[in-house]
Amino acid sequence: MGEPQGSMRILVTGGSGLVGRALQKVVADGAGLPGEDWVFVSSKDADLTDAAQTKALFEKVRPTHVIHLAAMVGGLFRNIKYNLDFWRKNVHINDNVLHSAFEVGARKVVSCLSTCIFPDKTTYPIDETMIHDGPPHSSNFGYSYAKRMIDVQNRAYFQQHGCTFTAVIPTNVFGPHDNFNIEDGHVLPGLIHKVHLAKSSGSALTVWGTGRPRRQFIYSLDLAQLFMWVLREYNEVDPIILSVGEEDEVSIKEAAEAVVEAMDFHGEVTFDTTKSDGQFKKTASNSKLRTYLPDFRFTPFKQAVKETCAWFTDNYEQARK
Amino acid sequence: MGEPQGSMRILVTGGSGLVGRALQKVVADGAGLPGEDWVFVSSKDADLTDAAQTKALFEKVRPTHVIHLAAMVGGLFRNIKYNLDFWRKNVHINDNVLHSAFEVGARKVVSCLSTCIFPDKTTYPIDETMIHDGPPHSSNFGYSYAKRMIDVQNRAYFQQHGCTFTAVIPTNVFGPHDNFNIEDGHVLPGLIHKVHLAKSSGSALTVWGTGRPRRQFIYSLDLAQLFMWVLREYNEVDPIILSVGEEDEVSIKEAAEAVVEAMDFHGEVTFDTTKSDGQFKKTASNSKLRTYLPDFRFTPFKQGKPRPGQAQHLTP
Repeated sequence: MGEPQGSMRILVTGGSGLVGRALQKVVADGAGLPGEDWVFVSSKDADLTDAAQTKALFEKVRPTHVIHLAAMVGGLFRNIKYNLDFWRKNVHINDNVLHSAFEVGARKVVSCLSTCIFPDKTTYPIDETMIHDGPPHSSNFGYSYAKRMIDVQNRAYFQQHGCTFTAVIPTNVFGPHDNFNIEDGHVLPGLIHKVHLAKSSGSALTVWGTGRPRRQFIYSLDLAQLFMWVLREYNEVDPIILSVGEEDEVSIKEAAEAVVEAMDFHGEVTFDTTKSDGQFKKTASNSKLRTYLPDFRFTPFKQAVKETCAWFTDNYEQARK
Repeated sequence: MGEPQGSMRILVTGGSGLVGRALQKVVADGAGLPGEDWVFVSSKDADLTDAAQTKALFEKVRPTHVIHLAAMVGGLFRNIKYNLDFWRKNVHINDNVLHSAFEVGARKVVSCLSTCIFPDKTTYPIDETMIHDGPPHSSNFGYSYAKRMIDVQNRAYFQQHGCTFTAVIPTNVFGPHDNFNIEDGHVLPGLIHKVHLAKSSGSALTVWGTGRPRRQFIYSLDLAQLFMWVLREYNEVDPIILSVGEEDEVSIKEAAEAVVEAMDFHGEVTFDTTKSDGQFKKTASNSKLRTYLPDFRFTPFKQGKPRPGQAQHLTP
């Protein structure tokens, strides 16, 4: 059942990030509905680790709905070093956003989890019921527990107050406006930036790790469309995985090859096996999504990679790197 | 290896509670060591859900060590109703205390978990390695996750900064200065208060639930002694269960019988099976403790019951 027609003000935290920008684009391209007022905010508007600033923002905007994307995020190597900061800052952000939303009477909050937070020792594919069934991978336990606790807090708001605060669980997201920093960012934008540099300097592409770990990648523009469906139509408090199917899982080596092809790179490709691989696999089931939306079509991986590479090349100067 | 001789200032949060008062007693009875300065605080001294107040307290006391007992706690029925509050308030308290301790350079923090936070679906006995192996019982998931996250945050302080922030995991604690409120408190003090009222009014004792769930009870004065050992000698970041052995687990019915005997009650004892039982068992292993302290002697369970003259110390 869809949200009632009429006035909805949707506040999107983390509005300037990878997923936030994708949402801005799909809304600007006409995916918003009449009566929907979309408000995108970023760290420029409020420091969400600060309770008072967050409360002031929510009292100013008075949203009826919230898409909560803001978080302290980073790639594998930064997570390994700063587990305390990833835990504390994200807990503060999440508590401030959820509680401010509650206090202004927001009808629905959709937060964003990640498949990297699932138990490390597990069977595959993982699904929505398994989030809390064991400890997460040790590399980013601070981030993982902070994200898991969004689900705990959602259920607590429902148990004590009847609120519909829920969450989505994307797999590896990529697209325009990502963080392309090689040290700090995620694997696909890191590869794109590396190929760009390798082309300019005539050197080899060095992929960190063995190239063997496997991932499901979801294009940010596809994820944005699914977010809007969740906001309007998905009314469970239990979270939902948003991902391509298991059959579309690729290795890091295959992802690197897709980037090399998209950017027409002809140099050597090597693997630095002294660098950590992180989790070997995180294969997630999208059965729950397919039960709701059997006909949703994802952008083919190579096409999405090509579009992202083109965006990076065209926007190199201002891209986050 | 013990803490070095010399100056230690130990701040105890939740100092006026069940375990805090037991610590105060053992320290007053001479269990403190030379060079140890014990500072007990309670909600009168600071609201620990408030970051600024907590920081001010730590900057005033400047502890080298912290025993962190303060929490929002309650019995089964209150937890069931207020999972959000139990989650949020305890996360705030714990974050404020741990981070203030870190910022003033405390060398060690010993926090307090509970066996009720372990996974609901589990094998028995439970041990320290199993805390995060599955969801806790749904009745008090807010409280349970907040306590579990102390262990997560301890490990994060160690990973990022090398701090020795650790935790103990007692089973059901009881003793003087408990919360004897029948609605709000835990099972053993609730039974004591009920027997006291039943005696005064000549009515029956009604035990909530079937009486079949099983628990390991630890006397607060024994726990206090073990806390002091942990503070001085236990240097792992991983937590340690502090409990009597599995062989000393009793049913709620047996606990009620012990109270009835201790208070010389001769009325009828009934069980209200419409009331929730909570978790059926939480049997915990104390093997890790026994590896460190094979000779520690717990006060016998029946001895820990109040003598009739203790009625005036009850907190209603």
